[in-house]
Amino acid sequence: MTSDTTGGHFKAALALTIHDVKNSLALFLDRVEAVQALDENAGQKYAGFKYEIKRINNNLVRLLSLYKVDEDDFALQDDFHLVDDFFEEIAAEYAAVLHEKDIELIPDCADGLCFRFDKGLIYGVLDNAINNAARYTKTRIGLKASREEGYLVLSVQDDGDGYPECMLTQDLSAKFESGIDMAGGATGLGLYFSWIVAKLHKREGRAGYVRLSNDGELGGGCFSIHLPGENASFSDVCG
Amino acid sequence: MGSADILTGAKLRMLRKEPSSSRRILIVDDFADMRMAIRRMLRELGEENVDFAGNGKDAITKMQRTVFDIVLCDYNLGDGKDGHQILEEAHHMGFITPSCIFILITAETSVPNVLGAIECQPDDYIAKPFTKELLHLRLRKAMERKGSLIEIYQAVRKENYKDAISLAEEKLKNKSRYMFDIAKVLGGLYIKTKEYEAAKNFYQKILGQSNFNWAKFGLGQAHYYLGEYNAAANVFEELIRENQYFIDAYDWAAKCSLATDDAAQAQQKLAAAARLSPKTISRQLDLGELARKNGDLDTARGAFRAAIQYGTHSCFKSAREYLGLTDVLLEQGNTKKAMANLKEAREQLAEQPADLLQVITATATAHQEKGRSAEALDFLKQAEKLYQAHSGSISDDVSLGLAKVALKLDDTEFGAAVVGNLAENNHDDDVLVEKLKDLITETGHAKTLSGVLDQSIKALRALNKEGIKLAENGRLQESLELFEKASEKAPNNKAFNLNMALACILLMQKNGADAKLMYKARRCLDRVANAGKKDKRHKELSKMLETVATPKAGQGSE
Repeated sequence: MTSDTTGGHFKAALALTIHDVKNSLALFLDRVEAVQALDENAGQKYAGFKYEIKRINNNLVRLLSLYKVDEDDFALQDDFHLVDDFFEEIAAEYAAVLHEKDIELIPDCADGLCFRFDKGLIYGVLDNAINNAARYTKTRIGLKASREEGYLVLSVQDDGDGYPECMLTQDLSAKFESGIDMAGGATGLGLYFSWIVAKLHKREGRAGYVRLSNDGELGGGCFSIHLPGENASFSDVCG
Repeated sequence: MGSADILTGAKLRMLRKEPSSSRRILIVDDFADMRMAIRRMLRELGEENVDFAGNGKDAITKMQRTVFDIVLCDYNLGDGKDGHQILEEAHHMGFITPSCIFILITAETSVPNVLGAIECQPDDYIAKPFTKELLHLRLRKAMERKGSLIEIYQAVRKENYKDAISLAEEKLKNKSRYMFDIAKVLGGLYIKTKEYEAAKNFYQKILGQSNFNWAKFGLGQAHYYLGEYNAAANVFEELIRENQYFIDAYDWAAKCSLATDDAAQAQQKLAAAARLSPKTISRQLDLGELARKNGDLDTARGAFRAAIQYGTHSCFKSAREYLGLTDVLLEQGNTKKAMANLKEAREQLAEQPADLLQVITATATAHQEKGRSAEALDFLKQAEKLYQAHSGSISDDVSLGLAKVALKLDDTEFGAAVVGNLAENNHDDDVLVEKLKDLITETGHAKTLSGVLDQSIKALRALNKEGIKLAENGRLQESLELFEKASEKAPNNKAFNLNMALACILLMQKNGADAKLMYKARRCLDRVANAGKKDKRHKELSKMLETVATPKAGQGSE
């Protein structure tokens, strides 16, 4: 890889810095868990710490991904993954912090559904959506995988009041094509990231996309990312 | 999630080890704090039997001493090896059992896309920082997946590929969650057993339904081995277009270019792969040798230098990269640097006698060619000492080079001894015998040596024939004794060793298993394997020996 341009230097510096900060975060997380283990009345009071550590980390990952995309030095690491396994991991990671807030996370995915996507990136997208939903929901967050003609739909739904009208009608492409503005704040950044990740998932001329709606099954807001492609499947390949 | 329905008996017991089990776990990380952090997580999961390594070398040493059930290995280990290299090396040395779970810990969520050999892939990747809940979940999943493939891996480890294939085909009929993992292994096995038509069919059927990149990669390989180079090249080009970091695809694209005589393009592909993943020594060597052939000496020099640099900490370090660099430097007229490089090679390879001998031989040859006989003879003396101490582990090519420089320097006694050994151990290898004759003529020693050579070969042939005849006439014990005597004189003679092993096996087939005969047969087969001369017959005999060694049901001798 060339590193003889200023951009190359910065990219290396960024990657190394993130690597180092991640090590710090891992140790920080360890200390929190160590203290928690000694604290007989721990309950869920350390969940918030762990949650913030995770948020810092996810922000860093997002930053690095966006930078690479900007520099045109990005390759989608897409592979087939079992979606139910993926959901199980996300649920395990969020269980404590959501429990603290009395929110229930309900994964819903057909057993053995296997689809092609970049797990790291999609994790970042869902993480962002769950964080967002946690802020607006009342009691529940639904994490759902379903199939729509030629697409896998991963959605994060809540039972809050739903998205405001202005967010539902906005044209994301028009909004983000020219980049992001600061006015949108962190929510805007998260949505921009999701929009980029969706676009990176291309298959046979079709790109992925994101949608915001209020017609989820829980009655509140519904964020969904639609990824083009087909389930992994095969039959009678032997003999 | 329905794991129980695919797990039965022994596999369940394997997974159901209760807290404070005796699972042996190795943590590899260059940060002491991180090692402790991971240990704490494991403790909370009830795992107490934990060992540590701070770098690649340490990790390999530990794995050599202990069979670990789980290895958690950081990908980025600073200056030494990376996690992939450790896995590759541990595998190469046979330190990883089929049931061992190897998990790579990475800092980035994405890691280089490395496919490599089917048995050399980590069971999972886990990104830092992670909670104990996630680690627990991943370990459980990895064990489930391994559990559903364990018999296949065990058969692969025993090189029972036929069994492994039928097991995998059988398992694939029951649609389990892990059918894609099974399919991936099965495709690799078709390739490994050279069932290329079956492999092509299999991968095409899969790709007709799902666009797995491993299936595409496998299809490219099948095309290649079937001689369909253009089709293969197209597949690999497509993989590279889809993911410019798919390193293995570059290597295979290079192979395709070579097969269609486009050496320049092959070099370009290899160079691209080497830029993406500079630490793989075998690739740097291939690049160096190809560039040298292409007359691109600067690239060749760079590649050999890289191979040397990255090989310093590796079990893969060998004479090959040093001699490659020496040749390039000599070709560029830089004798001084070439000699310095040979000196470094002697220091670096001091504990690898076979490689060291190769380097010393090259040093002697270089001096001899520059007309410095005194220095050349000095090194020849060193080579002679090494040769005498390690003649069993010296390859024929190295011996040939040694004989050549000895004869050129008119050390007829030593030269003749090496030639004699080569002949004794390879009397039935016509190509090698021809090479020996050429060598004697070329160095001007035909008069004194060719008569001796011819006679010795003739005698060995007669002896071998006699032994075979005895066996054919059912006089197995006598045949065995004859080959035993013969191989005392020529311990590395392939024909003698294989025939002796056969005599042992036939005796056991007749009279039942016998510890002494078993030992003898194994030793013969090992000798052939150690000399790097395994062939079809060696394989057949190994199988036969295994069958003899397996007691019939109810007789249990173990």
